[in-house]
Amino acid sequence: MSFIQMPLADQRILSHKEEVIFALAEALGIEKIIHHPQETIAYECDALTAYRCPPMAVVLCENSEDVAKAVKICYQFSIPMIPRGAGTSLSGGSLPTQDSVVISTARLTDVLEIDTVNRSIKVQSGITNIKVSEAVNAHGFFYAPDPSSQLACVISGNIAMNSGGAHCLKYGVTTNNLISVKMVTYEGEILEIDSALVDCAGYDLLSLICGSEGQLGIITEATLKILTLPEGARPIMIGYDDAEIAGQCVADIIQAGLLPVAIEYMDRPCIEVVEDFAKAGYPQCEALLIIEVEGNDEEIDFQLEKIKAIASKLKPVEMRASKSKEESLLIWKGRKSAFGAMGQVNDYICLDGTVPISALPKTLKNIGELSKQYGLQVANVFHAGDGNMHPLILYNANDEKEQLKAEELGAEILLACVEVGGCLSGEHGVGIEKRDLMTKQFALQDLEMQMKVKDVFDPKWLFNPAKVFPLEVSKKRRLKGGL
Amino acid sequence: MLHPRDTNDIQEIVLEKLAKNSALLIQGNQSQIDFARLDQQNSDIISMCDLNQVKLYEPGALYIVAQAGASLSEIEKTLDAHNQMLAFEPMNISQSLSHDSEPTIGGIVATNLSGSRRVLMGGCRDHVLGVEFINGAGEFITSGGRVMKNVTGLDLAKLQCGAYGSLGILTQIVLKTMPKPEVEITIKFENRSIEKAIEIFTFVMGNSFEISGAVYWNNDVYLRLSGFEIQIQNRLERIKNKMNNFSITIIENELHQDIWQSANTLSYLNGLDGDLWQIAIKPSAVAILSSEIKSHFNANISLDLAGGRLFALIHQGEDNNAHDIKALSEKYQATARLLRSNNAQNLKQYRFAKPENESLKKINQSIKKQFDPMNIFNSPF
Repeated sequence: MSFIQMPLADQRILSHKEEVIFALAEALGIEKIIHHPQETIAYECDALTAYRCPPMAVVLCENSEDVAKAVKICYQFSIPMIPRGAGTSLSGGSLPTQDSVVISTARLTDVLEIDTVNRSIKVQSGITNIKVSEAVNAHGFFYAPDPSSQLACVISGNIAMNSGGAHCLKYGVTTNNLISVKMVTYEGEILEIDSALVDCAGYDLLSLICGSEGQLGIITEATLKILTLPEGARPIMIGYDDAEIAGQCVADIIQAGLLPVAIEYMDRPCIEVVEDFAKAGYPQCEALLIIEVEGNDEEIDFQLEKIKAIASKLKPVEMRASKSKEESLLIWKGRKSAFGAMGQVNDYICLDGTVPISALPKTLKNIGELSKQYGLQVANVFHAGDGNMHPLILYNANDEKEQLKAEELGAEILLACVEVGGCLSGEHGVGIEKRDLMTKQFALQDLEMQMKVKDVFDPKWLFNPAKVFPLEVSKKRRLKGGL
Repeated sequence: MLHPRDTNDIQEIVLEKLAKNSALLIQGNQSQIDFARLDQQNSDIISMCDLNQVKLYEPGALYIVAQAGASLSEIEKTLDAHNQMLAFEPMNISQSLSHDSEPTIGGIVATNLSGSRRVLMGGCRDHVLGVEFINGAGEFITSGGRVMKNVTGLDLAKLQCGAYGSLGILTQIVLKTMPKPEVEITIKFENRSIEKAIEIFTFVMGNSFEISGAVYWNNDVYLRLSGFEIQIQNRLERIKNKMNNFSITIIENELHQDIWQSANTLSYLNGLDGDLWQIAIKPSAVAILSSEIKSHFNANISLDLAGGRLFALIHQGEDNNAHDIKALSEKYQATARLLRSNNAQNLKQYRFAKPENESLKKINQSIKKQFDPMNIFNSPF
């Protein structure tokens, strides 16, 4: 195995750079185009920082029409386009190539309509996830998907990666909360695509678009489902001295018919770092579960008692329910800052494999063994309620050999997830990071079928072309400009 | 009629049809529309009834794997033993269609038929985690998996929901399961106009009552509350306090179950003949659409999903309603499909709601071509 490869830049495109920039500037205005190498470098990577490459140019679109104009020009010149929201992708979803144009939705930040009767909000796609909820909180509503990066990540990226978050155990992920989108097609047409909510006319195209990693078109607006805010919510922390027992506790709670809003998991290495960073008051133990339930005080107490009864049977080392709103906020602050806190003390690769909940104990054991075998520490912090693991492989990014080893360990862990009936990615997307493992989860004809769908939306294979499908598998299409 | 016993048989059949350039009609248990009556008379029928096994069920991991021909009642019985359910509450309209036969899970997924619980828990497409199917080139394809969160490649599983078998023969489906609520009750508001019903729906859906059913028929509004006893009591109290000018009746146990059975079988329409439309619409526009339909036709209107879905039974003698219903739906940005009709031509044309926009139509047709290049399966276009 070697480092993740990207296709070589197309010299023909690079030789036309000036012409392309001129065409883009003429259509959109030069102030919306970034092309000087000193400036394009700001777009050289996303949150998968180990891989970097500045694009040929960046287009800062201000409305759907801007996006349409940029896409038309890129299609005319056959230039790969890299859609980019906030650049928070952990899988390299918005990593450019040298011959590409980044289409940025960062300036599309407006709330367009709040409709409490139909329980929806219409926004431009570059708005941050948290701003969507903030816009409707005063009306008594919220937007359910809540990725840990919600302060920074934006809706276009959430749709591209079908993002989840801690609370999607109860409320579902982006695809379950998306009503319609405005998408710019390869022909530069601005298309309204709705509505998966009750019944749509024709095939459920939204289900394809959500999670398509920017490979089918560029989303400029979205109508999202909003839900009523619960009366209250409170987490309980349950600590165990054994990872497998914690995994068992999760399965027992689910099987007992309780459905908390969130069940989060954190192991000792992670607890220690987060505690230093956020002072969240976490108990020191091998495996910590943070379980949140909703309702009024009486209902919350009732549900927490039921959870305590189940958890007690497995002999926890500590069990502590939050007593106040402040304490709850602090507990969640710790959990949501886990990735950031870990990043301050060590370089890491964050994985995203998902397994059936019943396979959690076995998978945790597998990860522990693989970690020993490779001699690299793995910290675990993840959404246990839906089996969405986030093992963090700690390594030294300045040591090329160690990076390679870390990537190999990552691949092994993901394969272990697939083997127990899971998948490579729960919510971060395949991007480049898991691209070359796709043949381990899918047969070639499965991938071919998916690529045939991409052919419909992108006949020349210019939308984010070097992602998701292994380069060898997509080669013919990419080089020929489609089939 | 062809009776394949496994996916190999199906692949062979598809390849044979490809070679002969002839068509196939996919059939479950004929609980919905008799597709054979509608489509090419000379095409062979492929029955999925022998692929009827529940293959795997993990209650602790909240999923079940079943072959496409497995009956809904078999699946529900399996889940019931562990106090779980399919949370999208599949609709079973077979009796209302006078086909007293048991729906298969493949048929439910292919037509994306979700019941009243959809208002809280999402629809069929939200509960399909993975599928296996044979495409029109005779290839065995898998998509999705057995987990609730999955963004590994394009989601072809959800695409199959509501595709009416036009993109391939579903052979196996993985569905999310959910624990059953501890307690459920019904709140009934008697003798309300459609406008009042919408007012009630808007109020309860705008508050954190977690209403798991909100329907309206024969001038009565029914709301379903689900949860732990303590949650039901609290929510009921809050609803009573805030709606003290409404008189309400609480319905429990068997009577409560009968109501939701009616809602999800449309049994309240039994014995009434005519064309039955399902119209997906924004709740804010449902009252006006309803009055327009009534001004055009002798119609029986009912609502589900807190006004997000309207059922219109257009009584017999009004055979030319399709064009008008289509036009009205477009006017209110709604999507209509025909569930039942005596007019075979209309049924053929409107059972699948087709996009109006030319570009969307083109995308839909291109997708169909990619999955079924020789057009051997049910064709919605």
